[in-house]
Amino acid sequence: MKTLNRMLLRDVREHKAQLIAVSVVLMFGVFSFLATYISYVNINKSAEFYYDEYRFLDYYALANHIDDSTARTLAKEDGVIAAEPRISEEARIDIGETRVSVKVNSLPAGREPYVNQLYYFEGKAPQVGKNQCLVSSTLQEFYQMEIGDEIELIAEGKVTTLQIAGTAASPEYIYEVSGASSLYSVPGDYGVIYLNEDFMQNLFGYPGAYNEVHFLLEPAVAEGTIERIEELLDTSGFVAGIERKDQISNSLLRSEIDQLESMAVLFPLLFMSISAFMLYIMMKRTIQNQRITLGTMKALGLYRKDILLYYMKLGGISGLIGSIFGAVLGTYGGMALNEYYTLYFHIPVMIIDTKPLLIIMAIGGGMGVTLLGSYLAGRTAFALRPAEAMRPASPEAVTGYDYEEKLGRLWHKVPFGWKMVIRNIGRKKFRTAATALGVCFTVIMLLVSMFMGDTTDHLVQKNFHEYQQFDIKANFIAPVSFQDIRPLADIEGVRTIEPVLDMGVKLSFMGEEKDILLSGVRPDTEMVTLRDEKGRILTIPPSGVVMPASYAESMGIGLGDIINLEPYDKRLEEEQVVVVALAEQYMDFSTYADIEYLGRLFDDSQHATGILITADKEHYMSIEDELQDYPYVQSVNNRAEMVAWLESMMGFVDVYMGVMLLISGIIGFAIIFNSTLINIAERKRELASLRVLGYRIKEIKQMLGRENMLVAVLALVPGIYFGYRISILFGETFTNDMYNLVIIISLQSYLITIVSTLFFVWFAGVAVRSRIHNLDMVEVLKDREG
Amino acid sequence: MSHDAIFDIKGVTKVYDMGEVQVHALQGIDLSIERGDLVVVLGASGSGKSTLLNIMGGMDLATQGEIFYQGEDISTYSEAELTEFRRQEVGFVFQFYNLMPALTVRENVELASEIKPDALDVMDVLRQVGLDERTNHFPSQLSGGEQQRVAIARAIAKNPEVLLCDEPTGALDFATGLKILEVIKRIHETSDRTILLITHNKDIAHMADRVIRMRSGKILESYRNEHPKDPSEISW
Repeated sequence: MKTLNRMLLRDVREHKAQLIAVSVVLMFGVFSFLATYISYVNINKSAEFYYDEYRFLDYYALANHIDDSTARTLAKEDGVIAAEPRISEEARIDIGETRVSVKVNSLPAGREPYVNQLYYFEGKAPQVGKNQCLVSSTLQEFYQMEIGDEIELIAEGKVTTLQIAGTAASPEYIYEVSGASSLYSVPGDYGVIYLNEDFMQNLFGYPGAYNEVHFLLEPAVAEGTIERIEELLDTSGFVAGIERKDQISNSLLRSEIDQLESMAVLFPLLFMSISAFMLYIMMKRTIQNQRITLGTMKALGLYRKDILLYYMKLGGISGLIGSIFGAVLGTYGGMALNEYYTLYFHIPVMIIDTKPLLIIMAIGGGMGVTLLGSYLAGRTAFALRPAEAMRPASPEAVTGYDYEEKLGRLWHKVPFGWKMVIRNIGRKKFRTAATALGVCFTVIMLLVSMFMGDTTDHLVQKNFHEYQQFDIKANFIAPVSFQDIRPLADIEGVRTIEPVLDMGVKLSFMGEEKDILLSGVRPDTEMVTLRDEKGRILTIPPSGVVMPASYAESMGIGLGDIINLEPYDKRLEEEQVVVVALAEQYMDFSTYADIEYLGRLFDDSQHATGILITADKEHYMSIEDELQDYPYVQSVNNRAEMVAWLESMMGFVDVYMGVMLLISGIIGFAIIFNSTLINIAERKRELASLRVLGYRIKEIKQMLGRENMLVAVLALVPGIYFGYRISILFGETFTNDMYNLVIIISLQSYLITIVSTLFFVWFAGVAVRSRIHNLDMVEVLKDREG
Repeated sequence: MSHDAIFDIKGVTKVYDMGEVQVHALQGIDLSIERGDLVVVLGASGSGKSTLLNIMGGMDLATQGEIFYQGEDISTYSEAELTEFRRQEVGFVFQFYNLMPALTVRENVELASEIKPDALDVMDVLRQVGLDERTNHFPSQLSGGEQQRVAIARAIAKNPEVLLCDEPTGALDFATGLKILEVIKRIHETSDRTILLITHNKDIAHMADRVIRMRSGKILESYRNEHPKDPSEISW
């Protein structure tokens, strides 16, 4: 069938604009899928690889005093692959003039840690007997430290000079955060350093003992093993046991990766579905416009399969071009996104892989979509008998809508030009629907690409400007009595201070469990403003707790219910409390109670684990510095820095959404452009007739322009509605224990969407104008209608 | 069935269902076409002549009745069998030529010749219709008469048993139309093909071996021309 193939090539050339538009739609569908999915798969694989290769812990236990023999007993337990004790303490270091809170971990004598093995960027482990240390790579990068540099360690009331022997990373600290009370650490505010075991034992007073054991466990027996480990540690003053899933860095990483997965699946899925559906509509219209050719082929005796193949090839060519370009762009896009993620996720062994199978699947999927689209679109046309196919399609049934009757005198007031536009729109239902659908999809894609930005802005506003009112928060190394923190109020620039008691607890209710942060504050606190779902301000009750509404909802807890709280610190007893109120919270979730009530409830003490401060802005820096001088202060967070840091972190969502916005813009334009192009092709005869009647080109353009605009404006409404609904659906998948996303689409986003969509419609109209100019009336009208 | 009949049509009706209205395009047609005849089917617009031609050519299905082609009832054929029938036995010429705009003159003819093993030589056929000089032109570069000659070349290139021409001169002026008729006549004389030509122009009937007149889906009369005229002797 070489003649048919030659015809195909010329047909492709003839329809190039249309086919390119189809290719573009598909290309960006494939691109969005591949780029995001490749980067997600790579980041996930990298994390898994890092965890496996560097033997990230399965479980770790904290206890007061673990001796060598206990550690050895633990290692021999059934189901335990490895048990490695270490000392881990909070301390501070001075890097030049700057004081930084650090976690200090011990390294086993004369060897590398087996569990949580270190990845060395530079240098080597500290030498035994020398005052050397390893610093985490994030700390080293932030302060630009070099091997051989000296830092001052402030611990146990002593200052020790340490020389930097190397920089390293550990699978334990992909996120370097101090603990549950400060999930978000501003870079440079917190870090990790490693010292030799004997050095730490001497410094922190653990001769021949440890305060943590890290485990690798057999996967199948983990549950029972953990129970036995905790029993064995009872005599060592067992404090808490944490499984891998609850380990803070890991749970942060998992939640980030989960979000990435949602984004990598949801957005491309939406784009691909829209692309596929539009391809189907485009192919259907293209084939419908060729029914005479199709009929002639059948009359000549060409087999159905040959004809079918012909149209599948026609669609397939755009599919192939679109998919291949999409795959190439997607692969590079995926790698570029990975490079970006490397900056964001601190995984030193990033696997950047091109995933040939995924690429083949994407190309195959793209091709499949076009072939299936062409097949389905052509199916009705192929089913026609040749005599039928060669007759022009019978005029579509008149709508029966009598504007005159329905609108009465109003209809008479409509100018004639508009009457024609309205009648055309009502008469050609399929064409109107196809155009409207294109517009609708464009609106949906644009809105869905913008809601994330608006929603995170809202989140920051709610959390940092309405809910949290303090300026600085300092966390203590260990609980401090109310009396001892009073002098902090005298620091220059401090306006008010309030104690806070943060406790990690396991909440249980009717068989449901959740790890939560319990925060004790003053009943008349001015540091946080809690509001109920109606926006009414809540006060901290003298007894009972105020829970985050989203937690209560997910666990089925209602007002007045009694919940069980089991502190992580095993030295404290479990307690039952009443849920007095539910507060809307968006991030930094905490269950609030009166600080004195909490003290009475758990250990009958009057202690704080931190302090909340309001201060004058110009004094933030000096206050932070001064706070660091107090021996019990472990870390200091400045809320303004937190907001800035969080916004920079959101930068990665912004970049992603920017890319998605660009893609939706391009796909949207391609769809609208194609639709306009087919409109003209379908109506050549009608337009030529108008020209013959004496209509000016300008008037015809105006008529078409009005038609497209009117359809577009009408399609905006369902577009906005579905865009909003889909945004909510997407938002739900991003809501987790760290974020409670309230889907917000700003007025600005709606305006951008509407203006861009209408611009696309207008511009597509302008772009196809030459086709009206070049319309050869005589040629068109000479041909039989088809 | 007469002994040398190529088509034997019995009680064929065709009803088009147009929603609320039913159009009876053919109402009980009985007809026998002899092999090798040049038959002109004459009738006004709406008489059912195109419908009859489409059904005989396997382009459409009858609502009722039987159509025997060389003894086989094609009215019972499946879609695939009808395609095969059109492919092997029938050549079509349409009023509006229906050439493939993306193919040259030669390629348009090749499109047909490629699908049949005993097809005629493309250049021979083009020479026969007087277009051997314009093989590389596209349809848009040809006059109506030339386009129709390409369509005829395309129809006969398959070397079909039957040539069905639906108003082949309908879109052409007198002189050009005449040339087309001469081409058709020549094809008839130089081969033993059966040719059915439908037209509303009664003068064309003079060139036929046999004339069938139709009106309102029925055959009004059918007669043989004892002395068919040469197209050059016809005028309208």
